[in-house]
Amino acid sequence: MLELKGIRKVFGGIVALDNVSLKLEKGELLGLIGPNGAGKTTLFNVIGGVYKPDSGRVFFNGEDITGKRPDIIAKRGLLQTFQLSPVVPPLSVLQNVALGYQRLINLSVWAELFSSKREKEVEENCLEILNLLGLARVKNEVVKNLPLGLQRFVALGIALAGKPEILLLDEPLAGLNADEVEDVMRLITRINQEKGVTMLLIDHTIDAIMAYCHRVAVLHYGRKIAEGTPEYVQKKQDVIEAYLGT
Amino acid sequence: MTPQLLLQMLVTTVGLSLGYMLIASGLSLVYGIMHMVNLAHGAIFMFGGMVAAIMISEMGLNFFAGIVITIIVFALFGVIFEKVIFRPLRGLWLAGFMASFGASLTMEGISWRIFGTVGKHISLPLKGVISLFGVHLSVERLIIIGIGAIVMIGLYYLVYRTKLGRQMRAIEEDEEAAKLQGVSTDMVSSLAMAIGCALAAVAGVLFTAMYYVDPSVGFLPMLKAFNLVIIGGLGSLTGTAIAAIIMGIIESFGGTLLGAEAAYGMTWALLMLVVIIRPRGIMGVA
Amino acid sequence: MPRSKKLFGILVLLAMAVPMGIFASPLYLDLLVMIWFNIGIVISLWILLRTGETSCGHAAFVAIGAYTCAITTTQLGFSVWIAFLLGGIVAMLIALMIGQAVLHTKGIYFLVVTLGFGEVLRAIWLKMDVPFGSAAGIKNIPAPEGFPLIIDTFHSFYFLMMIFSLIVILSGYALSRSRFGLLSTALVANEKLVAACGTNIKLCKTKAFVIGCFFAGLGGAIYASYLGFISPFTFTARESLYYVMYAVVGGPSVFAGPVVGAVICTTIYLLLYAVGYYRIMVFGVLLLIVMLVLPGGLVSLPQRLSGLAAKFKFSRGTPDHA
Repeated sequence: MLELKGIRKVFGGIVALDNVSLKLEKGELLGLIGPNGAGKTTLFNVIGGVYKPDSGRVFFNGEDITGKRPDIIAKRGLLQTFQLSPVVPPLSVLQNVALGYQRLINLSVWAELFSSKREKEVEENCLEILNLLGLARVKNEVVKNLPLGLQRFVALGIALAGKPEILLLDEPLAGLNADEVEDVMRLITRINQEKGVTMLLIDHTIDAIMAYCHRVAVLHYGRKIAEGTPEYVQKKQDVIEAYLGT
Repeated sequence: MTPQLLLQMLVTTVGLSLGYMLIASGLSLVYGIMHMVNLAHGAIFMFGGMVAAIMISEMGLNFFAGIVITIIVFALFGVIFEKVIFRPLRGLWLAGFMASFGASLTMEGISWRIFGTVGKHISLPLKGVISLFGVHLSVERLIIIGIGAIVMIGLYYLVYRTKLGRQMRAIEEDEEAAKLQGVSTDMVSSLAMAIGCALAAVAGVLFTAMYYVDPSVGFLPMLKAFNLVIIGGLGSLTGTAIAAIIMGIIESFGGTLLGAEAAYGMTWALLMLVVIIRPRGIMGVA
Repeated sequence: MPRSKKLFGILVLLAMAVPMGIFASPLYLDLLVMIWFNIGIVISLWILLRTGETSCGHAAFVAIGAYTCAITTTQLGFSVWIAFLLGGIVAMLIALMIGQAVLHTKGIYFLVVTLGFGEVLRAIWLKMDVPFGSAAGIKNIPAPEGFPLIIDTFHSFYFLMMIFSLIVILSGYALSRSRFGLLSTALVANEKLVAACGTNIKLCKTKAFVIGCFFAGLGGAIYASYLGFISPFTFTARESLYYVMYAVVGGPSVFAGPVVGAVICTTIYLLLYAVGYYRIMVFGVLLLIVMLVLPGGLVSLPQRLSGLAAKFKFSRGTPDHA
């Protein structure tokens, strides 16, 4: 469903990504791990159209989406969450999630001014997602007032509202305790299995990734050094070295 | 177009280009390091010329001493400006932009009040005419151009060959990384502002010596400087220089052939073209 | 402040505006006309400002409307009322073209480009005698047909300008309350996320730009008829900067901001006429002080006073994300 071929990205003098190739099958849950600075977030940015790769191609459902505008890629059904700025702080939870709805409707200024019928439809759909994520109670709270953990869920809600075919999650487990990690991973698995959303996750919580993901890929200094089932990757020599070396 | 006329226009072009380089470099520096658009730059240009004119023409100070004093005065002014206006508003660029606009209006207002409406001029200690290939070039002009060139060379040296310059470029490229390497943003910002204002003031002095100065003189050159900085590419001194040369050519040759307004309009049309085709400018970093 | 109180306050102000218009002496009447005009123009600018982009060429679009009105009435014999509408439409169409061409730029780039566009137009107006009249401009622009409607022509223009302003105010308000307004807020807060959600950012900004410039052109056309005259010196880069100033001084993050800014700044500017040479200086000092003390604009005063140290995040960030 998602295929990367030979992605290369250089910043200034630094090679962030070097000949990275990856394949993601429909319905899969793929974990992407690697030490800090390995290029994981850069890879996401390349897939999502934020960066244009210096060479290499990105294919989504057979279509070449390399370097296309982020909103066009989003409209194709590839959505992502961001680690550093995942939400719109000044808006409410409901408004944030409704934002995710953008890709499914057309924003026409006139329609917005005069039709409240759309509002109802959007709100109903968003409520379904809010319930799934346990955010229904706080739907009218301004997001920046919420604890970071909840904000993470809001970010997830925004992405889900767009009914993605494939979802890229950038460090959804960062800073969570063991219980929270369980909750989030179970939620992610549910979404993956019940809604059939293909997912690509970046995270540093290796145990969770190994436990829940179908397959795992490892990046190190911009290169993919391993890819396969969790068991296979865990045993691979290079991976162990990479992690011990940092 | 006689060769003599050509040579004259070449000299004019060089003079214009250097002048633009001086103003635009200051603007580019301030923006690149502090991410602040300084709308008071034109007022400083004007004030520089004014202050120098008063010192040199009315108080009889030596020309070269006058320039040096102007540089020092406005470098200090720049440090104060940064401390009082830009630093508290760091990160709020729109507020900083408007604050500098306020400063420029204030300076202009003071200028109208103190200096009146009559233009001032600076005469150089050396006068005379040199004949080159049958063309009469005024010595005054050549000296002015010479001083401008020296200042620009000094700037290049500062930015590309000194530690301060390296720090400045580091901040321009990646502020966070530079901070991690121990560069003091506060200090570099202060110095950048000092240099920027000094450059503007020097440009003003040279302009006054070449032509004249009155309180209304600063606005237009500043607008052109903005134009230049974008065409040349933000963060690149070389780009600014190239753009300044292009602008000098358009204004002198275009001005003679098509009229001043048309040439002026062309420089802005060029800006729009550049922005559409190559948004980062001639030598801008992507 | 609860909704009903706000509404009441606004109605009171409006109610005052009518007798003010009727009984004011000509000097104050001009001031009032300028206030209504500036409110309309600044709000039209604010529609774009709200999406995070600052245009330094808004006065140029006002001038486009003014020149359109001038040319269509004095040279083509159109009805002035039609000319008003045309002023808005022409400005809107040009904004569409320019927006499509340059709204991929942001921050300082967009700022300078709009500035440049204004200067290009000014050069064209200065240079071309036909149909723009070069430096002399165009004279004898007629008042709308049917004038005088109330008392006399001057007073009629007051009410006309007031109605124009109210139209822009209502439209601006409706827009800011709509999903478009929400999107604009989201854009400023987190553009990357909004794009990743499938929104065509450039299209959004272009829409805001086009709508804002329509009103600018409309206002300019009415103003041309009011003044009876238009030249390249009536609306320059300086006026563009003043409009930005009024919006920012008022407070660009809420709807009330530009209105407050326009009213206060216009009043001060015109009243300072008495101070002669000090006028610009005082104006500049006031701007400086407001920006240093209340970077979020005058509208943020209540928040500041109540001890909340939240600087309005609107103008945060750097302008060079091109």
